[in-house]
Amino acid sequence: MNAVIRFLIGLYQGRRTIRALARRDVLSRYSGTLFRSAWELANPALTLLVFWFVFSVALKAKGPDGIPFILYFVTGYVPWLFFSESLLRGTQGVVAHSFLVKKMVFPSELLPFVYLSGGALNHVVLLLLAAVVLLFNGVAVSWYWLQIPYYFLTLCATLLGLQWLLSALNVFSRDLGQGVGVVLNVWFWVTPVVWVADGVVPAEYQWLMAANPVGYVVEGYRGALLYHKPFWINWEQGFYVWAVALVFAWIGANVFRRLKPHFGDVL
Amino acid sequence: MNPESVACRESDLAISVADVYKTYKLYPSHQDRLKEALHPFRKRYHREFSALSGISFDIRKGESVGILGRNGAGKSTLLQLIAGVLTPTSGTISVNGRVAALLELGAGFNPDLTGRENVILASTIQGVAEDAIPDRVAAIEEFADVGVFFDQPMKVYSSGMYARVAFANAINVNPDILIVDEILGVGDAKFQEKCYSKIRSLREQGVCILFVSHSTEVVQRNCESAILLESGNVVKYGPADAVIAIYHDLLYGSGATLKNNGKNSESHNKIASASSFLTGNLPGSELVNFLQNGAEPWYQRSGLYNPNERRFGNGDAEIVDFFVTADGHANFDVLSGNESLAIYIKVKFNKHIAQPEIGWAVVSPEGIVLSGSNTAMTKVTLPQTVSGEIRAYEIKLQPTLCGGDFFLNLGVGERVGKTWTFLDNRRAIIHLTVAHQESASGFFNIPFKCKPISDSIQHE
Repeated sequence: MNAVIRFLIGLYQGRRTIRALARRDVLSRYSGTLFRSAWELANPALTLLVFWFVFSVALKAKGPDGIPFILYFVTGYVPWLFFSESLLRGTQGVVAHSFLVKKMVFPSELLPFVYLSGGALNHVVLLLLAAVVLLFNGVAVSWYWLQIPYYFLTLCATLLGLQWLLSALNVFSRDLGQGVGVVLNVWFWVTPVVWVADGVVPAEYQWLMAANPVGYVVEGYRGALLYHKPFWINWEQGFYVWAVALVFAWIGANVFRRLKPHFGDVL
Repeated sequence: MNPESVACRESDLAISVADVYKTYKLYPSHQDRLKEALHPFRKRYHREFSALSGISFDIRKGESVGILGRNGAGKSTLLQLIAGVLTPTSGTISVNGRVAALLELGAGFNPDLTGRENVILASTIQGVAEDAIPDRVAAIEEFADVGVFFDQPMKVYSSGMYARVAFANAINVNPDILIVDEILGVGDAKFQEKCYSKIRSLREQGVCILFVSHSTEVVQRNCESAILLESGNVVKYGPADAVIAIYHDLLYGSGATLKNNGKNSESHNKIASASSFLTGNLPGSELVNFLQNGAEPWYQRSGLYNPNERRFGNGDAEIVDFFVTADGHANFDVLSGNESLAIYIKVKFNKHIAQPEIGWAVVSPEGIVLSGSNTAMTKVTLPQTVSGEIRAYEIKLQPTLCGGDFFLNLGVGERVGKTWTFLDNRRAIIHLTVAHQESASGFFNIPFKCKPISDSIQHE
């Protein structure tokens, strides 16, 4: 218990470091060239366009209850993008900051927070884009939209432990980054981002849907933005997702703590 | 370890190292390291390597200490422990005050960021208050003096520029303790001078400075005391001069440091008829007295002897006495600079030496060797010696010195094939004072003439 308290105090003391590194992270993504900042938005926008074309125009897909496909897709894709990007970048976190980890007294356990807060800005920009798309398609602004921070926090909590775990292991075997990319590819199709969960998934695979924390968050974003559903109607799964996140955070923090003394020797 | 500091009050200590061990674990591969760190039953995959084995010492506030030792003696490990980058395997290290560490060139800098961005980032991580950062960055920019490169990514820097920014960054946190691990050698001479003068001014402000350097001259000039490490143990902690002598002994000698006192008055009987061996033109009765006198060495009565000499060697031979004449005169205090010097030394051999060598050097007070040579370099073969005899040698020099203080090193060595062993090396044994000269400045008075050789060749 003492270790946990000391750990939390360390996080609080490192808040300025987190802020400085996150600002650094954001700047490196948006500054420099005009093209680079444009790409940060152009990339997801292009993906949206391609999916919209393939599903809406080519396959003539409709969202459930006659909702335009683009609305269904954008509300799920924005949280998914945050998840996949944070996981990919977070896995490389310790290696990418080896210049700080190696020969300095540097609290590397702060790095997941750096990536989460740095990525949050990108996420907010994309959310605003999504809101514009929603408003254009006649979806009204609603109080239910205020549930987004809750789902965002849930996603961050899920990512935290995974980032600790993967970033620490990645120091020892760099192929892990590649592996994460592959797993994310599969995970994308397991998560109801482009397809509709209800009625499509055979009964024997329903457990997979229920077990996927990202699915909960994606459906949560969609429910809040599109269907105006309150988050407590699915409280059992919410409870489960938070439990999973905490267990992962515990495992991740412990693995990280045990491996951290070796970082300097391996990097 | 240091008798003076033991008596000090706790609050006077800047660094206190108590019984510190540091053991590194060596793994066959990274995977084994990972397996051991995560193994549920703590299976061992490593071999152990002991870098520091139970060292203790205290450093007072404002003391500046050089850390000497051969490669692998544990110097860097010790600095990293004090800086807090590593944690000791056992023992305690208490550090009193803010530490600034320059452990490795560019440590903590991201090569993709500009110098300015790195300095800002480092300031934040080092805990500098937000509103103090702009002033600090300006101060660092001025000190580092890398011009437009300060706003270029650090990957395009030369190693000298890197060192400038790194050093400027380290000293600008107002440290109580500054740790410098031999990286200043990278900068050019002008910047090095700037760094050392900054270090001196920090010393005057009472900043404790820890210095790792292979240059004993640098340690001698910048540190009052020194710690000598050898295979993870403190061999000696004391005044810099004394520690440097032992370090030299460790490097070049056999490890049996000669004592300065008490050995010189032994049997001088065999020299009774020494004058009959002499050849060539030698100054009169004073030299004969020098060669023949038995019990009491001449040099101890001489004003030329420097009691702070540093002496090392394996003891197979001893320089027991010396005698100096300038233009044939033995009685002089201050040289005018262009005299011919003759240095006569008596060497007692405790062993048969097949190929003895005699060497000398003129050294500045800063420890810079201005000039030096030995019989091996000049390809002069000296006769072999037998155990127990004393021999006399003459060294003739025409140094043409400028005004100031100079020291002479004298040494006896032995050559076996290509290897060279110091039998007795007495550094700065002779102190020469040269009168100020109107005609030249510097160390040497190099003959110089200038005259006009024409009227105006061209006229506008």
